[in-house]
Amino acid sequence: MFKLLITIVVIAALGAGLWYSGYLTKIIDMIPLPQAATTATTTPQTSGVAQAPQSDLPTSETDASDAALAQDSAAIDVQMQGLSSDSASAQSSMSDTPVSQGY
Amino acid sequence: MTTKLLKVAAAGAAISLMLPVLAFAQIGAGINTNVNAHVRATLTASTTAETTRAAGAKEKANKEIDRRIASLTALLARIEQMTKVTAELKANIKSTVQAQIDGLVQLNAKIDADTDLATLKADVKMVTDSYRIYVLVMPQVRIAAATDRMITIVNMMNSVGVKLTARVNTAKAAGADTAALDAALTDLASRLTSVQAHAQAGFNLVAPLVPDQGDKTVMASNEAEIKKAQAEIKAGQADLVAARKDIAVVVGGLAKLKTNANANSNASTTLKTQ
Repeated sequence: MFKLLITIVVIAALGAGLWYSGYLTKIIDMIPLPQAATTATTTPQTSGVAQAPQSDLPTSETDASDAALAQDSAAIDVQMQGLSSDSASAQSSMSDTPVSQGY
Repeated sequence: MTTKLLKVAAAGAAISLMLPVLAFAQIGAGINTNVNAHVRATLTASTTAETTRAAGAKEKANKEIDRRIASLTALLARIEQMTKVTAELKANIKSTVQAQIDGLVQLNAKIDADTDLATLKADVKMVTDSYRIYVLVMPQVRIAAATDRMITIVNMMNSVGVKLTARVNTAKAAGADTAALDAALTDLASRLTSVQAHAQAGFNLVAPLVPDQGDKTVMASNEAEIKKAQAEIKAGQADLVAARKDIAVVVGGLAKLKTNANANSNASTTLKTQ
């Protein structure tokens, strides 16, 4: 029992000595820490235009049959027409006529 | 008697002397009455004309405000269809448009309550200068909606491109000549990258713009930026048209390969039968 106590005191003194000398700190620094889990963070959408990964097709992403491709092409064409409409609307709204000040 | 007569005569003279004065007074009063009536009539006519002008201006302003509110309400519906911008940005755009609508409703009420022409004139001017619905807000949001749709189309074409690549690789593995189809797929990928760049550029140009409040320099600057953004949308559209053609080339090419394969298969079956 006494010997055990002596051993503990000696080890503690050694440890304290190593700590104050900075050697222990160096050893700790060398221990490889587990990698911080990299969570998939969403990039702040400062630009505002997100890159949504999901498909907008009406068919399954794995269905590459002729019928599916035909359906996909038709859906794309509908969106293309919508884009023409958006573009035309932006163009036409530019010709604003100010309220006439006929007093 | 004489005294009495004199007194009467004096009184009469006094009265007669006063007569011209009285007459002048009467005439003056008459003149004054006429002038006053004329002035009153003129003032009344002037006030009536001003009231009529003000009523006409208010009616016109009401119509313009109603037109803008209708356009903005339709714009809210279009914003709801946007799927590729972040939820936060979508909410911001919606609240901005709603604020414009609310502001116009308040301005409408103020115009209706205006009592003097100068204030009315200033308020009517605000309909265009402060809100700029048609030269700024509408094109700004329409361009944002267009870029959103461009990204949707890019996603769709990208997914189709993946499917087509798998089909082309299968055909290639079976010994088919797919050089033309490979070239179309390569062009497709390149076009989609370009579309994304144009969409982002277009969006970035219009996002920071604010109404000019009558400042001609800001107005000119806003117009220039919107035109640049429209050019980006047009360029992106052209890329999408070319990309769509690439898809058609590959789909058509695969159909031909299939036809040829079927034809070869039938020919060999016929030969075997013989």
